[in-house]
Amino acid sequence: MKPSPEESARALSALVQRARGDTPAPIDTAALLRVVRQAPAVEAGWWSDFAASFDTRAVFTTCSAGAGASLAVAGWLAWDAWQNVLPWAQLLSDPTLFS
Amino acid sequence: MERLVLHHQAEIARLLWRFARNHADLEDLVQETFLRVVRSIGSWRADRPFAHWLRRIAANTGRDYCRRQAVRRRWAVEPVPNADGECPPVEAVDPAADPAARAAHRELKQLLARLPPDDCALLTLHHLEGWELADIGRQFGWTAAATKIRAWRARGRLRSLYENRLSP
Repeated sequence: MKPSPEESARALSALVQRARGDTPAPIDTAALLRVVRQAPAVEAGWWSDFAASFDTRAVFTTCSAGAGASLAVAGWLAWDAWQNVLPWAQLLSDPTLFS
Repeated sequence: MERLVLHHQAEIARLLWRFARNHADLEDLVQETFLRVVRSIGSWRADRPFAHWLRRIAANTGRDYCRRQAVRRRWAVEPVPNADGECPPVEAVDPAADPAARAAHRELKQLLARLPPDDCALLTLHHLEGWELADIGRQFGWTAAATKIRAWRARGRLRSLYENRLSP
């Protein structure tokens, strides 16, 4: 038989309360320190400074994606415009046209 | 840096234990968190408390872990039964100071792991670590209203999963 919503909500709260009391065994600090010591130094540069100026990675990713999309649209428009201009350019550069 | 690691490692391990499936994963998560700290120490502003900044990095590491676990579960094969017809345990048994609390924690983590990764991270931080919803929203870049709605829906999903487990 399925328990009532109130019963299951109470049981779930009790489960959460019990779970809060759990603590992990100590971690291997020697291994952790080894890893931290061997970590590569901070890469300083304009890109890392630029990335650090955003509050979260999500904002940075969104802005980068937006910039990429704008660049793609602008590139496509430029290519399309060039394709329209190209035949005229070829026509006007023909030396026999005005002779 | 080493002094900072030694000073904060226990607190970070306690936070990440809420996410990790077993002790080996916990060790990896703590290492990953401190590696992120080393790599991004330049972005820490001295006018903000270091412990708070560190907890934010640890929470992001926990959320990324939830996402990786969700992807792994999607592509994982079913556990192979052994000679007795029983499936091998998915997670290693770690020594616990309070076995009842450990059992409850494991059961809760199994339920949370079946939620979408962001819901898993949200409920883990809110229910197990006692973070305010507003703080979680700021942490993950959600608005206050969106965080409340997401929490309400996630709690509903969790309760539904728990009811299914309770009913035979």
